[in-house]
Amino acid sequence: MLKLKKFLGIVMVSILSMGVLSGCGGSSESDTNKAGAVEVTMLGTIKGEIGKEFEEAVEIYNDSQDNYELVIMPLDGNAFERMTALYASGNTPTIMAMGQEAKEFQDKLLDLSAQPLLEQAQEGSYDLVTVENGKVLGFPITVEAFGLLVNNKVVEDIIPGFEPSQINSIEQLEEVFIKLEEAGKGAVHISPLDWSLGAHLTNKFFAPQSENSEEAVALIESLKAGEVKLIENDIFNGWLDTFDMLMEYNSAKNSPLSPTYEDGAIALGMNEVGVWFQGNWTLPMLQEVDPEINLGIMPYPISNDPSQYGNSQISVGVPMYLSIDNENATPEQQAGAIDFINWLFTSEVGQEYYVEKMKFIPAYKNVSATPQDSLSRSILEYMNNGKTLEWINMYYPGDAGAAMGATMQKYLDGIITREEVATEIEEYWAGK
Amino acid sequence: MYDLKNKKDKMIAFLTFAFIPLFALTTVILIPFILGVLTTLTDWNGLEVTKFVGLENYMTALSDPDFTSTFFNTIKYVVVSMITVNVVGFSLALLVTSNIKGKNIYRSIFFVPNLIGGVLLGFIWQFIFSRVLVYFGKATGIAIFAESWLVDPTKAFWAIVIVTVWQQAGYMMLIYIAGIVSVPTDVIEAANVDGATPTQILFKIRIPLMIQSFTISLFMTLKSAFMMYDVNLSLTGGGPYRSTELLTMNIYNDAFLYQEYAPAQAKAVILFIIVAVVAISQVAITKKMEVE
Amino acid sequence: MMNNKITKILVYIILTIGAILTVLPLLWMVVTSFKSMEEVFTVPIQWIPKEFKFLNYTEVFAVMDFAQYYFNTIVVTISRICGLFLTATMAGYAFAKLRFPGRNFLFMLLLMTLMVPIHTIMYPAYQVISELGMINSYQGLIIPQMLGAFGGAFSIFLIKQGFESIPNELMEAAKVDGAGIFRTFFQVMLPQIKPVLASFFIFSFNSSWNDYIYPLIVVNDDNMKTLSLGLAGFTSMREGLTNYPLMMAAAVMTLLPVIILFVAAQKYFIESAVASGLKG
Repeated sequence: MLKLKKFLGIVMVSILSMGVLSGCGGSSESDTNKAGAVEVTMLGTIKGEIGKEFEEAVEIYNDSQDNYELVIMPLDGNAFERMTALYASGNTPTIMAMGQEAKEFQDKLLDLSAQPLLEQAQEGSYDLVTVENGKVLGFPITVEAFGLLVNNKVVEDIIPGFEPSQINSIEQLEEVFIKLEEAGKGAVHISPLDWSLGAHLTNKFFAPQSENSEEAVALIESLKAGEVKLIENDIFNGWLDTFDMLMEYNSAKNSPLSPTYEDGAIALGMNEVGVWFQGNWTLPMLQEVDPEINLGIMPYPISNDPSQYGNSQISVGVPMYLSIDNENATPEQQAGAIDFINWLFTSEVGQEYYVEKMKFIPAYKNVSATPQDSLSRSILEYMNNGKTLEWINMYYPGDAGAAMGATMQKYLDGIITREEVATEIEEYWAGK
Repeated sequence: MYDLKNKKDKMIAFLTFAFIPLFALTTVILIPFILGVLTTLTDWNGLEVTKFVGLENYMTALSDPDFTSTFFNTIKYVVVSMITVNVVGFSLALLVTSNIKGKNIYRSIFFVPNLIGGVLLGFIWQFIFSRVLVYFGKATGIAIFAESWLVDPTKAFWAIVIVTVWQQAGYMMLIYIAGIVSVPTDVIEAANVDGATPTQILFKIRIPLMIQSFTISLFMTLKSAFMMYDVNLSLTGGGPYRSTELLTMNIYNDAFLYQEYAPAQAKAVILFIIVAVVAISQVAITKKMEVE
Repeated sequence: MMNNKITKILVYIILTIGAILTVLPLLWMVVTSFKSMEEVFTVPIQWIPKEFKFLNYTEVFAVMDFAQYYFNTIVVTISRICGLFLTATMAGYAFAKLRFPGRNFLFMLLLMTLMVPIHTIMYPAYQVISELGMINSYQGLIIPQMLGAFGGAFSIFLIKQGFESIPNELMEAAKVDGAGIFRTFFQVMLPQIKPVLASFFIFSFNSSWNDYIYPLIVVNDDNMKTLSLGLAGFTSMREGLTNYPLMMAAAVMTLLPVIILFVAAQKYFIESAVASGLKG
């Protein structure tokens, strides 16, 4: 019995001490050091892997002026989940980084259409977040591109004077692969990830349908209406011809579904393969493998005609936007949010962090800092020459990546035919 | 039963003992759950409700081919993992309660995996299945390991089962140990004297006397199998080509990745009804056996 | 006798193989925690790192506020268990031994709460908890759980099961001796279910220590994070390489106290289980 009493004693003590402790917890809530400054909150640091750099930038911003104090709310797990939960409880952050989901929140976001900063934004970079009555829901954060990433060092060793943007047909691409294999290198690495195959790879048959992006989007609508036979679509077939070729030269041909995301970065970064189907968001990963890595990017060709639209273009788009809450934030907080965003994209120090430290490809025209790495420069060159395809995948419903990704994984694994790919994709869209 | 004079006293006594947790459960689970069920009758998108849509979300959920496929995956997983976890757990319990040295060491070792959280567990095993075993298979020429288990639908399913067994069998073992040692030794000795074989003792005396442990273990494995999410996510991610996607993961993805909030919630309510029916009948059946 | 010996050896062999299979993944975890990033991916796999990088362990504390997470987890776990011990045993007792109209209905309801998929109640629960002003606080992390929400229902179920196997005569005898309802509970009945309490302690310690989804709902301040949230932080940096060595070092540190505690406690638990078994 004594033991039990002792135990109950411990229970009481811990409950009491808990009360004391929770008191302490409450007091350490904010460490604002500026009197009278308006607290502006931001959810997350745009991306997890630039967290440190972003926080440094925020600190500099906070020290640079006395009116506002930007505080970062940590973001664990899924951003959409967190944002809806925060809205549900009324504890919303002032600034949120949003992707396609911005439209779901449109009634709750501040209209940014009158903001001078948008005039600096690259053309078309905020079309996707422009809704009824010209309301603009977010500032574009950065530009990202995907296509066939090239390890220039590997390829140039084998093909001197190699220029990625000059590969504009399936035949030319195959030639590169043959030479790589002859030299004992892996030709191409394909990451069998559903988002890569389902959202990015599929973009390569939607976007080249027409130079007018509305027509490419129209294909989605006709698919939904069940009016399209993909197997009769030349671009669809050309797209799969190229994919067949990639599968043929795939360095993981024996077990195409085995590679993880990291395997791709390691294979390209350690000079094991020459080409990887991915985007420039893999740059931090690749630089972790090889800090000196020299990269370029090639178009994904869909035919043997070099002049065909799509054969000399890479896919460029804006993945995320900075949006400002208009439901719980005070006008002062909103002003603070705009002040910070302007600082980040236009001030000298802000731009230094934005471009050089966080390695974003700027989505604004007035940015004087230029990215130093070879991949970003290669992408900028395509952009300057107007050789870009739109991210039609931004018009996909949320589950399209997973659904079409599963189809492409099966095809990659050799368990379904081209006809079945066409039917599965048609069926997916017809159900929307 | 404790004999109190009137209804009022009984109520007071009962509530003194049970009020606090009932209150907590009501505020934090029951009320939110009812609110959650109500939202399935609307077009809620996680942010706002604009209209009442009746049973439309349930129709959407039931006609979703992914719902059907993940539902069958889940049933398969529940049956297989419940059986394997309990067979392995009970066998281990029998072995470590036999007269051997080092019982405590074995018990501790088998239990340790249960102390690891699901997310981390999936990561460790993903590395093992996709790298360590592949390397092992190639080095030794054992064909079954030569390719990552996670790229083949059947093997990936078994990979999830293996990890489940690895994680839960030790815990079930402990529950069974408690059951085994609670069977009075004199009963077993008496049976021994009467010439009963070890198998007879096991099935006629031990198991019937420790049905309570089975009630608890089966219930726990059943429930956790239906709710399985974290290992599914971090081990296979539902792959290859969504062949190992379980219902909870489908619900989560629908709600938070594909922003189909209300239909996802409807799926969750259907899942709830299934689990409730299955689990309560399981408890009722094993309880009946206890009484006998 | 010969036969007996062979069985015994067989038992040892099976148990040892089982133990090795159980330990290998953990061993990989420990080994990886001492490796450098490059060594993690090398083929053939190195079971013994060339150089033990103890720095991984200190680095964990540099990249995140691991000490704070540790402290939070300890506070949360201990308070939860203590609170839950009181509420769950009392409620379990009430459901098992106190007669009350509607008892079975209430118990059904209680069991039902266990079947609720947590994702369905995340939003409403978040709203309720934030209405109570408990977001980002120890109160929020502890009190609902301590009182029996999330997993508490299972503890009540477990304990009710335990009490049901205790004969009513014991209560009657206590009553004859003049014990009140509380004395009967604390002094006579509670000590009878020690083996079930052992399961309860292990279950609630473990589920609280590893709890991931609930703190994810309640916490959005770095200072209030628990270890499982911290660990998940290593994986949420999606676009960088997963830093396996750091993650495993953090995992080892998360796991170590639990294992030590378990090894120390399990002997007592098992013994008390045996003791009560003999009595019954």
